[in-house]
Amino acid sequence: MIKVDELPDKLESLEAGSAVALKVDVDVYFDVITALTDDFPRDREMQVIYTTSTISSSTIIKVLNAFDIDRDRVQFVDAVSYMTMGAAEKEEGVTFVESPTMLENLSLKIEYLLRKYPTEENTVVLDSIDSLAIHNENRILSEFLHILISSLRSHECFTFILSVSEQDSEEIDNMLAMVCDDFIEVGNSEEKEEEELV
Amino acid sequence: MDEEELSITPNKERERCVTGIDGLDTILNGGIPRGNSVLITGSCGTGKTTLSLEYLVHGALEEENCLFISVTEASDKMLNNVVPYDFFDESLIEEGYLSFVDMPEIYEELGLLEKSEFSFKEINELIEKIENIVVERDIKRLVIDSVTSVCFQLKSEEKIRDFMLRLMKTLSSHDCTSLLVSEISPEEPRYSQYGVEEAIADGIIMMGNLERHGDLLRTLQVVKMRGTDHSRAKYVLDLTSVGVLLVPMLKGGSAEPETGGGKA
Repeated sequence: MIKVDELPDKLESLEAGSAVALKVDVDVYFDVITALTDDFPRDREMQVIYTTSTISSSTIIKVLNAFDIDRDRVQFVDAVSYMTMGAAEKEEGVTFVESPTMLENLSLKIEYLLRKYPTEENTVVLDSIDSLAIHNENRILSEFLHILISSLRSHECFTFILSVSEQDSEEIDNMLAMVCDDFIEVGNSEEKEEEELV
Repeated sequence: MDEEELSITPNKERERCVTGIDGLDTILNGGIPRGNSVLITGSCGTGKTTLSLEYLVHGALEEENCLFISVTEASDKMLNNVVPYDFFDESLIEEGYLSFVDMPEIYEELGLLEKSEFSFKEINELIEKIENIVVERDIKRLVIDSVTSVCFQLKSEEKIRDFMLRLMKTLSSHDCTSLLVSEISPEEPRYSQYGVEEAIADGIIMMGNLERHGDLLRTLQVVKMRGTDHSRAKYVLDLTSVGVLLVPMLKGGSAEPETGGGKA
């Protein structure tokens, strides 16, 4: 496990086209989002396509605004708001998918954004595999990941698939190990060590 | 007849009409074999008109003369309802690369507007009129939306067969690659309304709506395409301002019987 403040350096060492599974402690979840949407893409003038099926894009946008993060480089694919009936409000930079079960449509919206806003380098974040696993069978989910990552590799995108440590599942870990190049656990290890000592 | 005339070269690659729709060109191994007449079939709301129009716009961008013959809806009204493409340029129409003709205007010219059924002679005149437009404007890509509506006025299977055969032969002889839009009802267990069109067409692209666990997905499947190897898998599509996008349909999930596109 690495500490969250080590994450930016770790991300810098990645090569374009990499697919990385990020297993994140829930208490550093928003720090990881910040690293992926701000620290990592800022200097490279990279576009970030943030696919959320966990919390609504409007909530993440509020967090980005609170941290004063430039939102212009971030495009959202929101697969959760429609499901909550009425929470999906039209907003600049947000594309909606009706349901997290429409996995092909997630891929299509990512493809659409890559074509609509072509940039030299792109990051795609999938937040999270755990929430997609609530709505989809593992068989179709692993098929989806395989096809999506293969496609994003051909675009030389950096792909990050988030999972939350507290929702640990061996099946999900195996699925990610199959399709990702790297598996990084991110937490606040100092706090953990202190807890263990207590 | 000398030996050279009799020789058959089965492996010779046919020239392609690149549709410009990336996913579709990949499925078709590079595009539609030039001169083919392809049935674009599906029920309402499956994206037939949008896909056909995009095919013409890409052709026009390549400076090929393209024609859309609208049978059921006035073309200006139809244009207002299609997805506004990022790559569309009004100058394509001004410069004549992309043109629109409303079939009722042709019917009126031929005195067919009030006829409930066309005779063989009138079918001939209709095909000759279409041929004249194709030749005069040097049309390389043609869409008829929909061919089902034309067939509605032919009534008998014999006349439909005659019309389809002659139309396709005529277009092919002028190297014109055509998409013939075919409307079917959602429960239709075949690819065309009258069953004749699908047998004669060089290709069939089936567009449908697939219901899976309450979600309705738009799908596309190339059922047949003479003159090329092609994928016969089903793809999910999205109609966007950057054009029609396609991804393979995931097979891990169980599919409920299909609606709006016939065959599951």
